[in-house]
Amino acid sequence: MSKKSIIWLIIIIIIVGILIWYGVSRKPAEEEVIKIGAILPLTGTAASQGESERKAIEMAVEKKNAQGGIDNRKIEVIFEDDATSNSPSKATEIIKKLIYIDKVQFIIGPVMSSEIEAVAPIANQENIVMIAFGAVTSPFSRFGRNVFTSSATFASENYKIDEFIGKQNFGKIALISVNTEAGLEIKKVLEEELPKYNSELISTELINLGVIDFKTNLLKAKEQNPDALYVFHIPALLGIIIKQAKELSIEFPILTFHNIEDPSAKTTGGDSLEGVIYTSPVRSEIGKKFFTDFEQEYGSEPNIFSDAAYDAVNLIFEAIERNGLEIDKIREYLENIKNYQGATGNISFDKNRDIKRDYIIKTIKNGQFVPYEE
Amino acid sequence: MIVVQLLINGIIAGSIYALVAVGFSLIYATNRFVHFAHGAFVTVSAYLIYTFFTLWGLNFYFSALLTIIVAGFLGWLVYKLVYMPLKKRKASNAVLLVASVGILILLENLMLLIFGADVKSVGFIQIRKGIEVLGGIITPLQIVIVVLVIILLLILWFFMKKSRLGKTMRAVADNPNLANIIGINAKRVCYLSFIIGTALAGIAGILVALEQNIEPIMGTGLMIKGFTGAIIGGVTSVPGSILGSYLLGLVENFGIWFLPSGYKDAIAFVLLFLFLLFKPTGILGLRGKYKEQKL
Repeated sequence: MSKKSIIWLIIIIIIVGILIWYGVSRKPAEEEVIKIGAILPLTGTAASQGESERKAIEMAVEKKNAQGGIDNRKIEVIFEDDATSNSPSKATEIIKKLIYIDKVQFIIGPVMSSEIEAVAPIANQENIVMIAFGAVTSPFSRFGRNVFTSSATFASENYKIDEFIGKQNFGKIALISVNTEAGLEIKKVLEEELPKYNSELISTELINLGVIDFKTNLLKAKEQNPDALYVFHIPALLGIIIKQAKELSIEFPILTFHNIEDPSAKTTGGDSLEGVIYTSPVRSEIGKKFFTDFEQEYGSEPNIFSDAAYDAVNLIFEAIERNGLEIDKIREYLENIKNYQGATGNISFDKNRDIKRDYIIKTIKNGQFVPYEE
Repeated sequence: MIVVQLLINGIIAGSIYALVAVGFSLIYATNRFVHFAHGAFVTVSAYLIYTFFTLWGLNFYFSALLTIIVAGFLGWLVYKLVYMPLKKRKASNAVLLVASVGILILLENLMLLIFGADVKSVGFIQIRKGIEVLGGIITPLQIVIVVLVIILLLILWFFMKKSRLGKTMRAVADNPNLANIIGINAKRVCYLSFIIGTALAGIAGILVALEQNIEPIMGTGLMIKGFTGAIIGGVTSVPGSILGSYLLGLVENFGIWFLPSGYKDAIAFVLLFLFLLFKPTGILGLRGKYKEQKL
């Protein structure tokens, strides 16, 4: 070893030593904080969503910390990225890190259903309270006693569009949907509900995540001559499907759900979104305030599910404030929560631990989201 | 007319695959290792045109030209900084492949860091109804993409068959050692193929950005399809890789007409599998003249 490399080695050892000392010396302070883990898609297809959810959580935490935290204890959120992988093994790895290394007692997320499926048993076993805020497939109670959501089920949103289909006398509906658990649930709900309104689902195209060319799927739907097309996908791809539909001269009405209000749908769909009819949750005053606060803080609109993430972290705060850090009490408190007023609206869990919400029919007119009128 | 529309959909998809496959195949033919990071250069180029045109407001055609030039330069740079030093140390093709995957991940994350995760749109072309052609519908941009790919096919075919540089490239592709012995500067040919190949990724990036929007991770998906197209067409043959991409696009679109859409990727890989089993050299690949070096 030359003299030079020995000097370098010594410098590196000193730097590493300082870093370790710094890390260790910080430890005692950390015991004062309440730690919450968050598993979000911070990279990958749903990254823009995850990023916005992270900001919403940070906003809630900053607000609470500015008020002095809870019982003079500051709150710290540890963000982990699942890379939109929808991979059970990855989610398991992350939750184990959060529980065993960071020693968190509360977890927000994950959002993908197969990930929740994988990590819920661990949360139950280790007695961690988990709010998988983006989970929307019913019944939510299947995930076990420690796992909650803060979003309404897709089914409760879909009832509204079914009713609308009945009113408009659309006899034949075609579905283009993402091939995930949520997509399959939508298919099931449409199959069950549409006959009640003298309508039926005549064709279903389930498309894998990652596919961005929908032309042949749209062509297949068009060939069946439906009265309307229902599309269900993540926001950016909703925009792409509708754009490609317009390019292929599809004339029948396009129906969808509140994902269309997400800014990335506008980026990909542009003007082609004009005239799309969709369901949108009725916003409470708190919800409206969350939107304006978020825009003020970050200079951009929050994406979908950001309000649910915001509610998830606030639910945890409220539960801790009332019950201290006893997980069993917190769980019981959350189970019985009724009419909690959050940014998403009214949160109460039914016997399946699902949340139901009120929706209205809206449309896009001159780029604005407006209530639908005949 | 369903058949016509399916044909058009297949050709549009195939053209996009071909745009990626052609540069990849050119680089593979002369360098003989899998430059998987090629997909990331398509992404980088898409972000370049977004920066030049949408953010800086430069003229679109000037931005496009600038993108292609910068892409070509990046191709030279990556060969100079990464592959050349590795080759000098006699790194095996497996090492080069791992390095290329590393570059792919690095560049994708760099784009994520600089531009953020949300979808970007160049916004040069207005979304409007397509034009009817023989009973099928196609948008003007899609026509431009298809025509451009056909022109590229012809130019590259002509370049590889007739021009001096093309001939030396084919000589290196055919037998690198022999080419070296008879006095061809294989190193120079390798550099050139990287510059031209990555400039082609630049063209791909611009057109993909216009047709499909921009995302930091789009390169991997494009690369997988382009790679499949190139293998089906015969990876050492540039025109072959274009034909392979068209075949892939057509088979996928006709396939999902009859099968559920979830099988789209399965259809692509069954096609690849069949070719690997029964015609491993691809449609236009070299026939037995030159045995593959260890990969």
